[in-house]
Amino acid sequence: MNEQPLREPAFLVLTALAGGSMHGYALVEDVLRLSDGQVRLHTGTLYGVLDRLREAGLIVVDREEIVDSRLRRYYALTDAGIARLAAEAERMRRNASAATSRLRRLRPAEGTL
Amino acid sequence: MRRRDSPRTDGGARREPAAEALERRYRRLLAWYPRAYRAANADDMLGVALARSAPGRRWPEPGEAVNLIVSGIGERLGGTLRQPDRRDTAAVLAIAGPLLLAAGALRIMASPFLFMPAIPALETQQRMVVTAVAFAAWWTLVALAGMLRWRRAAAAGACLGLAGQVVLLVLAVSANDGALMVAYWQAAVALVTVISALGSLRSQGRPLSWRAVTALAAAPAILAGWPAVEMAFITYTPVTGTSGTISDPFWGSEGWLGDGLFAVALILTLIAIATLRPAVRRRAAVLLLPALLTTTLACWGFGGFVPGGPPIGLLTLSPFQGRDLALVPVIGVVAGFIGLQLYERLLRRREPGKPADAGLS
Repeated sequence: MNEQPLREPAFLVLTALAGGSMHGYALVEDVLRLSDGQVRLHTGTLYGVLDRLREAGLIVVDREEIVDSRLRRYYALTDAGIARLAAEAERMRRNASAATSRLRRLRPAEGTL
Repeated sequence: MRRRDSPRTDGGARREPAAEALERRYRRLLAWYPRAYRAANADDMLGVALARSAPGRRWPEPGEAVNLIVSGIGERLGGTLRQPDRRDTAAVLAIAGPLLLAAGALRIMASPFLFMPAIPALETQQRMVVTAVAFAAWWTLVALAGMLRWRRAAAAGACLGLAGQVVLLVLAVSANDGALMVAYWQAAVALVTVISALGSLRSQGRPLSWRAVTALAAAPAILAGWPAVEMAFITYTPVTGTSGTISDPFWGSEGWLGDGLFAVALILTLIAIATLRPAVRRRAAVLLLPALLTTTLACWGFGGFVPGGPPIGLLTLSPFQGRDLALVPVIGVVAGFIGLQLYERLLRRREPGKPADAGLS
């Protein structure tokens, strides 16, 4: 997992958790907000992502609460998760910067971009 | 009950409240996940699924329902392969399976069927040989890719190989019972190989040394070459001008050579398994033991059948024999996987402090 770029849902979950520990539904909502309404995680997908991130040591279960007689689990970033998110954000920033730079050069020639 | 649950029906006194109906249906969908996973996560997941749903909704959104089913199946299949030891065990099977299939294909070339000049179907024989060479070469390459840790190439090769075996199975439907059963066995092994190859995609190490893989390749090769060797050992002693006795050291009361070859093949397999690191070795042994036992019994019971090809292809099986031979691979695979589950449960009981393997840590 450390060698390959994070997939979008995993990246967005880590980004959401960078704002503080969250439970499952809060994550779904925050990811929706962060992605401008583009990514609405299904429950199965969310828990698959959480399992993989936990397995990779990027997040941990912060605490558990009982709400309406149902377990609610809060997740938080680990130090490894913070480092990984920072590295991933930097990688994406470089890629975006490269794309923006090329597009700037392309713009006068194309006239439409 | 079903009609009463339908979203088209208007609410009534007997009608279950929407929230309860939705929760019940989500719980049913969560049943697609393994029990251990549900025990750890179902409550939390249910809370998310219900919170995602629009108020007053009685049925899960179709997309959410499909996602839970697919994720649950994925967890059942892939969740068990998250642990490195299990992935390495899958990597061993992803190499052993193709070797067995290659040997099965080679056996057709070694078959007495090809040495029988009385059989006129020369064209069929040539086609069989070409197919056998192609399949033997293909499965050898798949095994090689597994050894070189080209996991994706091995998985892709195994998938294509399975497709080929299925085509052979379909073609064999119109052939005799024996040929059909051979194709069925090979397709079953190919299916296990594909599952193993996919399960080993994220395996990092090389669980099998080159020496061990040589022993593992030699075991089925001995069984594959058996019929050709057998031809050299069969003696015919004429009694009268038109009749005589056949002595075959491979079968019957004089079957010491056959038993010996079985023993050698078994010892080579055990040597290969013994070289694995302990965690992988135990799992491989638990998985392979039922397959080895059932296959060995079938070999003794149906002489010349395993690992594939004539001479039994020339024979017609009785319904009883056909049923038994159809059940053997199913029993071997199911018993292997049940054995592995029981073994994993035993490990968890022995090490209660260790987190469960289904991604719950």
